[in-house]
Amino acid sequence: MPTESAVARVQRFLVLLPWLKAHPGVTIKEAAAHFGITTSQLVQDLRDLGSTELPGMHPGESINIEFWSTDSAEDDTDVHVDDDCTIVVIESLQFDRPTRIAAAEAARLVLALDVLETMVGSGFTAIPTARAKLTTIGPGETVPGQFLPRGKAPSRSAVVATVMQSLATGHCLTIDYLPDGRDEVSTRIIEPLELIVEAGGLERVDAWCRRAEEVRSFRVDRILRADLSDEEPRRPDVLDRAGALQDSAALRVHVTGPASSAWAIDGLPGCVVQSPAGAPIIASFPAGSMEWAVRWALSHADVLTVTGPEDLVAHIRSRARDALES
Amino acid sequence: MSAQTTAEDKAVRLFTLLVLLSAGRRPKTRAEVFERMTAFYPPGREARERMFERDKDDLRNIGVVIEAIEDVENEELIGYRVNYQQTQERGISFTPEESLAVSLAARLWEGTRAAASVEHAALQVDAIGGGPVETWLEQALRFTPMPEPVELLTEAMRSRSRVEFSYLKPADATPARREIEPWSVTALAGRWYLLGLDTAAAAGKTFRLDRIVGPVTVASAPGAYSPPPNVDVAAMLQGPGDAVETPIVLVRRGTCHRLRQDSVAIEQVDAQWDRCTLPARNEQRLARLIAGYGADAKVAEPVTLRAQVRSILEAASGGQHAH
Repeated sequence: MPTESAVARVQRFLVLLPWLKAHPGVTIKEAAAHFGITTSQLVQDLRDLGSTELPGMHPGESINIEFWSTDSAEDDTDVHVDDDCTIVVIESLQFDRPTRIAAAEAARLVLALDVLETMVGSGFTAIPTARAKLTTIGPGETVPGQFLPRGKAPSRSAVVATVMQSLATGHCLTIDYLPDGRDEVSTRIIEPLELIVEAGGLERVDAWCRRAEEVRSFRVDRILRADLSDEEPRRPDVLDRAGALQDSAALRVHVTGPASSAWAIDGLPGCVVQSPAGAPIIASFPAGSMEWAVRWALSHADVLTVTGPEDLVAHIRSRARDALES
Repeated sequence: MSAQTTAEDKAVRLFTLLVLLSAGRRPKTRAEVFERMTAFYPPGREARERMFERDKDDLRNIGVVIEAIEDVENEELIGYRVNYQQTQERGISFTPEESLAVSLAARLWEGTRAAASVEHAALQVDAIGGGPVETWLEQALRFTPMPEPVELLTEAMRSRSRVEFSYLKPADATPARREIEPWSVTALAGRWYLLGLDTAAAAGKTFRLDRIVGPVTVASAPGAYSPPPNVDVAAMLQGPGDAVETPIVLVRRGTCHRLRQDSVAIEQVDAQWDRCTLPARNEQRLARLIAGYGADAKVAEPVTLRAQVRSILEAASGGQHAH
């Protein structure tokens, strides 16, 4: 880490010692990963901490850290230190608690905990208690205690918890999935690879889908049910994840409408607006399926008019008439 | 040994100074510091005094409380001592679960300028909380980055400073300047919002962060306002418009899955139809969702919702349908 400042390094020293005390038995590899540094940097840190011995100091007045290799419980400092050695803090002086958490950081963490709660829901009871503690940091400091609406535990929190469990244990999942394009629920077995979290609850899980035999992206709010499965994982070792977010744009929807309807197309992926800002709207956007396009057009018919393609316009009209006559 | 200057060595010098000033209750005089740390400080008197001053400042900047102890009688400086009670986080403790929640939360700040300091704060919490090191989480979770203004807005809310920015409404041709007293920053369905008092309009408003054009700047000194005690964030996000209480919709079997997903109760009516009871919702938005399903969804009640769905569908029918 050539660009790291001396002050940043001392800051790490100050949190490294209490962190190691709080995590006895941690290996060099695990600790380095947690601090986001290389194992050699970590070993250097720990050796430097142990070298702060000054003339005139008594035993027990200096920091003492040992590396124990996994196969023998003996002091291994003079022998080869590998990444799987555990770190044993023999003496940490008074550096057993971290320095005070700054109020600005506490505020940022409180906001992030709020957002996290909207994702994982009220099932994670440590979120409100951790937030309550962070808001009380430091006398005379103000930390906003609430950023988000409370009491609205999203129903999908159980699904998020199951997906996380599957990621932690490597289990396959059986899911009931409602895709965006079709009004139809299908049951499939997926092997989750990664949970992609968007603030405010639009998380996706990238997973190997047995049925499609490729990596697909599933919207968590469209997973109606998720159960851990006893099936053995059988995805290939090497996966092509580029196609996970499929953009199977089957058709392009063309719309017109008054300028005041701009909200309706705002944020639609791939939307191209041809009219200038503030003028009546002429725009087009891709749709994954005819079914989705008809549903979208019916929903927004009072604010925007679909002008093409022709078969879509015809579908919209006949669907609307059927509904009005039924 | 000559004075050492690289960052690596400076870190060791700073930490050694900290260890020395922390050892025992007795304050250490400057002479004692230089004598015991001869390997670290240069021999020239002025140079080492300057370096010592800078080192003290550096340590204070990262939260170390260094006290200058004076003789009570003649007010002469005796020496320096680190006050550990004030330096260390002793007021609170965290459970392993809480520290896991905080580490996860910190990852939401990934990719922003505040990432490093938030990560450090999470490590501080984890150093109190302990618990297992969940390495799988690093692999298994990816967070989409927070939009840039969140950092400044969080700090403005904490210090209660007004903010200013240009805001472009989708129907407008040009952005307009706004001055806001921020009450809340929040995210819903993947979008970020700022809630606060629009000072020009003297009313609480909701702003979408992705419609802010250019930078958000601080527009007042800290402590410029007090947010109202009970902001109904959910109601403000819901936007204007009437909420409809307990709407009931008939849905054809095997269809309308999103309505089914939202329902609080679903009963079978006959071989073709189910009756869905939905929670209270914004009437117009619910009408749009229902209209999208065409003949597969029929509003049972209330009549106002039925009329709204009908008028949307009439627009879709090409205007040839009689009322």
